[in-house]
Amino acid sequence: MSRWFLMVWLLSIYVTGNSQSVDITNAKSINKPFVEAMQSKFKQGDSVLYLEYRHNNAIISFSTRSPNPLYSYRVGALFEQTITTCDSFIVLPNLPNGELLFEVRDARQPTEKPARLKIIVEAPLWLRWWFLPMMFLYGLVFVSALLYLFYRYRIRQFLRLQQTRDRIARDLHDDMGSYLSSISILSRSAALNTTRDPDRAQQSIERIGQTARQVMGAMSDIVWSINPDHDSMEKVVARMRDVANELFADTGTTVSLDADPTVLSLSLPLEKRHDFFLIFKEALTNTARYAEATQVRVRLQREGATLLLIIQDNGRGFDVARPKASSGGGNGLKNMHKRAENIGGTLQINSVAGQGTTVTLVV
Amino acid sequence: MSVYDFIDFIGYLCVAAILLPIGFGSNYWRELSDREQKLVLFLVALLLLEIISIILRFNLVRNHFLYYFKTWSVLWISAVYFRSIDKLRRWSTIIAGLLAVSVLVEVYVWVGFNHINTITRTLAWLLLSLCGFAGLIQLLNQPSEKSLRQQPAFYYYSGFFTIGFFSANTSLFSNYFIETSLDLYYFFDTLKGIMSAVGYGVFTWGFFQHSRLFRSQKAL
Repeated sequence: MSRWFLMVWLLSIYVTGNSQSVDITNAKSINKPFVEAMQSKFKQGDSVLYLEYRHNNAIISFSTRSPNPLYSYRVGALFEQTITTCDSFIVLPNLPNGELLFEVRDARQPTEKPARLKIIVEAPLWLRWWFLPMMFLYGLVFVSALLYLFYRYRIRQFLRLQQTRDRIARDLHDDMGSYLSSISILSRSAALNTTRDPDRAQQSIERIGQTARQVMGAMSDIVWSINPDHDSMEKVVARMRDVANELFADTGTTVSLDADPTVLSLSLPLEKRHDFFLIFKEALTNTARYAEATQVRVRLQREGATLLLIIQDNGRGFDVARPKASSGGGNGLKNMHKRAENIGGTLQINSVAGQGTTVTLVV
Repeated sequence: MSVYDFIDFIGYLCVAAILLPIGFGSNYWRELSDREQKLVLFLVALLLLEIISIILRFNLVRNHFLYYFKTWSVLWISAVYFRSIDKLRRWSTIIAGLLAVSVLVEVYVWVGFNHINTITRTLAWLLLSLCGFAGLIQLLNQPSEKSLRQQPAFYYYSGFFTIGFFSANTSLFSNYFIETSLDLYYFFDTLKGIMSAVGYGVFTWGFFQHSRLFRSQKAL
């Protein structure tokens, strides 16, 4: 008998200890203002509640069959102590990300099995494993793009430098080569004629001197054109004025050079400056050599985006279609046109016999 | 003055930086090409949207719908400048058009009106950034006689690349950060603001370079 009593007693303890008189009836998060609303997917009987980080709060309702309920609950990992309340709901605001275990039981039956709900608050984006590597990768893409652009820029600059070197080498070869060949030939001729024909040797030496002065002039032009200090139009005009005065120093020709103030504020890059200046110099040299002019007028003016260089003389003029062989046979004019083309401009030469010549460079 | 006030101040300063390219652009308006005038108009649109946004914020009116107009502005300027990039001309216009329509789809089908259009907004900024990068590559592929630093387009594309890249990153997370972490929102927004100010400075230098070019080197 006593054995049967013991078994019934133990069974009653087992049954009451494991039965669950409290049920979790609802669990949802409260939508925050200005935050995209989240629909609750919790159904009674679910053991897990998933919450997004931006909705990291929960309101959990529970009930019991007891007529006068008294609950005790605790939330593992949030607070370990048990709280007793008559309320049939609990509000858990601002939950930390991670897993929490909510347990609630009838406070009057401490041995009974509690109702449990696992609350999983997902980690915010910036705490997830991929966020920092992604940000790093994004930054790396930016830095890589910059480095790539810089690398391409350096290659381009190197090519530009190479082209400038080639251009200077070409100019030196074209301008200096012919002069130096002449000096070489003339010096050989002078050496041969020193004893046989001293007069001819003297002429050769004079021509050597003349050619050497031309070399100096051409070299000066090249050095001047590659000096970045001379980028400004003011410097270009000053140089043009010097050259004009030099060319017509002993000729009695009146030279005037007028430049609009708007022109002086312009800037000419190295690549353009040399060709622009040589067009001017070639035109003026032709005038000094062949035009027999008494007046030469040079004007520099700006019309909108266009720069105009006008060289006008009152000399004898020439047939533009058929320049005389004595005046270079048109090679100088061809060079001028080519240089104008190089700098993206156009060159126009108007000349009427006996009425002078007008050279207009539009760039 | 709290840190947030200071960040707010930097934000306003960065917005004010847009006045520089607008001022320069307006000053040289007649000298500017059609495409450059559109860039000025784009900057004016950004400024106006920013002003309206601030006014609405101070009046406690939700201003997220303004992002749609900003996205359309970005797509428009991308399409305008992509037209100068030979290889990408057709595709970029198609993508910009599709994205412009997608803004409405995202708003009305997905996020709802007056919510941030995260996806299309991010893609629009990325497209602008891509436009800037592709433009720079095209300039670098040009014959090397032309100095890169003297070409205004070099500055415009650099500006697009910088602004687009940092704005895309911020756009992707701004909605989430507004709802979860204002500190991170301020961090990314300030970073974007500073980089945008750098971009506006680059645009300004581009306009300045254009005026110099117009006066001296355009014809030369």
